[in-house]
Amino acid sequence: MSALRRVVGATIVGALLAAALRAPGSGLETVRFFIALPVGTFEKDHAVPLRVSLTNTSPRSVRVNARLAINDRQEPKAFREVTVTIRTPSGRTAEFRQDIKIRAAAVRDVVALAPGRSIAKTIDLNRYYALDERGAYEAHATYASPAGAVPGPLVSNTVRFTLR
Amino acid sequence: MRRLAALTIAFVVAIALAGGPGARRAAGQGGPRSESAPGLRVTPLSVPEGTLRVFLPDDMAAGDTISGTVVAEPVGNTDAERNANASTLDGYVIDVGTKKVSVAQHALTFIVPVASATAGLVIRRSNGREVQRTSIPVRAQQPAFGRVPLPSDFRFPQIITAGQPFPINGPFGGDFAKSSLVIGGQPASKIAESPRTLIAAPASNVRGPTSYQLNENGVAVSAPCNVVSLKLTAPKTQLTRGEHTTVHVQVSGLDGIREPAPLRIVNLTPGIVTLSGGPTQELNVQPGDVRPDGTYGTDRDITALVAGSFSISSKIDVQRVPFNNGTSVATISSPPPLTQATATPHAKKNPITSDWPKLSADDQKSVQAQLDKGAGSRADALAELVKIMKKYCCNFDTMANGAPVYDPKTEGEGETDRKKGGQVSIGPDAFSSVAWLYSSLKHEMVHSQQWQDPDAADKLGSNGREKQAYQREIDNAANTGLSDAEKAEDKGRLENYK
Repeated sequence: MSALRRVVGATIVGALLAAALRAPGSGLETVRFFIALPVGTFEKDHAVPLRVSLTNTSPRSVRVNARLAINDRQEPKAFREVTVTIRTPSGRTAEFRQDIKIRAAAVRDVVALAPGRSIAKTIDLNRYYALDERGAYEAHATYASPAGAVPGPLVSNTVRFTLR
Repeated sequence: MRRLAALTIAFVVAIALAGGPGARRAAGQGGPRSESAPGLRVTPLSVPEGTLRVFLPDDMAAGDTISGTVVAEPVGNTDAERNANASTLDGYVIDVGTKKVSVAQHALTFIVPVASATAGLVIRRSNGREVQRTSIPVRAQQPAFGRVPLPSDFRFPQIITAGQPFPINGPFGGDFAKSSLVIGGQPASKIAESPRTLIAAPASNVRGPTSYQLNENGVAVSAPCNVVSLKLTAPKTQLTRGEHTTVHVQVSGLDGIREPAPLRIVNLTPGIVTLSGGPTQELNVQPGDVRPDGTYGTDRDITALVAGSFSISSKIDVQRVPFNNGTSVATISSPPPLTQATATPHAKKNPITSDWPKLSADDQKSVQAQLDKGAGSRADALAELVKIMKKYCCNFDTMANGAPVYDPKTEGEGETDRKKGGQVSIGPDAFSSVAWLYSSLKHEMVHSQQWQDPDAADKLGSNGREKQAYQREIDNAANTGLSDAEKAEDKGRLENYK
């Protein structure tokens, strides 16, 4: 009976550990992708400045794509590193609202990130996504890089904000 | 590279023994051995976590400053294993010459001792423990280049293959930090450098007639080239004894070549199949053999001697490619395309259906004058261009406030708001030349025109809208004055949408 308990216990611990390792933003990855807003409430049709950052949480230097270009997830991977998924107050997914002419990611965009160091960029969500409703929004971002850097996809934490 | 081995038709573009940096292959067995590739000496070093592959020039001499690269190729049965091994491999340190370089740094620059016949290569773990050592033979000291280098001292291959290494000969310094190379508007990967040779690889999405832009220790050099890609196809790759099939070899990107392109086709499995024309064939693709779309194709019959899968390789033979001497950037003139597009007047206002007007020399000069003032005058440069375009009857009524705006926060060259009458923003990346600015603005005008009918724009989709805008840029390149490199850049981007 005690042997069975040990097996069950080990299985539960293993499952919890695996779940923790997969959890976005858990800090157990080599690189952590984090997003943040300066405040929780914004005026509708005004800037919603989302700060996106990559932090090297490993003891080794890692290569990341520092361009952090935002684009439509429908665009070819070469033309984007960051996409944001925004749930609107009515439960829809906010649409991307720009056609962008942008070069493919290149070697010059890749930087070595020393242990503990971060790179960051601020993206105006109101510029790139149709935030047409007043009310409570929820957003998370995904980072991916085509080549020469941590490929991802890395999924960020979730932020919540209100448009009034 | 492991995947390559599983393919029944091998596509070996530039190097038979060594993958370029970035290639992945299983760890080799046994001690270090050097592999060769054009201009390169590739030393694979096996460690428990995989292979460290060191790329150095094959003409190293005593006293040289040398740059090279190291690529970590982790082994493992799962992504988790490979990631863990990659992390460990990044922590290894390479002692070479007088330098200690961590693998994570990727590039290494060192000086070969003057009185040395070999260059030692020592691999250590991050804790300093030696894991392996080998030595690479070097030549006797070479005479220094005795004068200030001229652009014409550099020799560039006329034809290179996308994503594959090739050598440029000339009076280099041997130090990566003092060399920059752009091909087709995109930075090339520097793989190794000696005082006589730079080995680099163009980006894998560059294609067609374009140019090199080299800056070596302050000397700016340019030269034209064609970047090609090769493709092998066959209806069957697994044959029974006595069965026949056909291999089709296609080379693209040969538009406007002036001299023959040397092509090599090799039967890598002569014990399994015969290749019509012989096991090793050296062809010269003549300019007249190239189709109007820049491609060349040839077929070869395959006959199976025994049942099995076969491998055929095809590559541009770097050793036989003709060279161009460099010219100074100020006087570079790429060879004109075989069919020169004719500038046409701008009859109507629709950027999708009407030809884009050609700017006069004075128009270009007045925009250039604003560009020359630097980043602070970009808004003025854009305003000047808009004023000139209005003279040619373009109008900007489709966009917010009847004009594009300069916005330094714009991603890339430009953005168009996806709605009728949406804002058009032009970003810093558009201001690299008058032609690029003009073509980028017209690109956004295409989007602005597309969104005049939102339903139709939606149906076209993001992919369809970009394809149309880039195709319009390419079609009007003769009028906007795009350089070969800028046109190739647009073509490369368009490829991503196909």
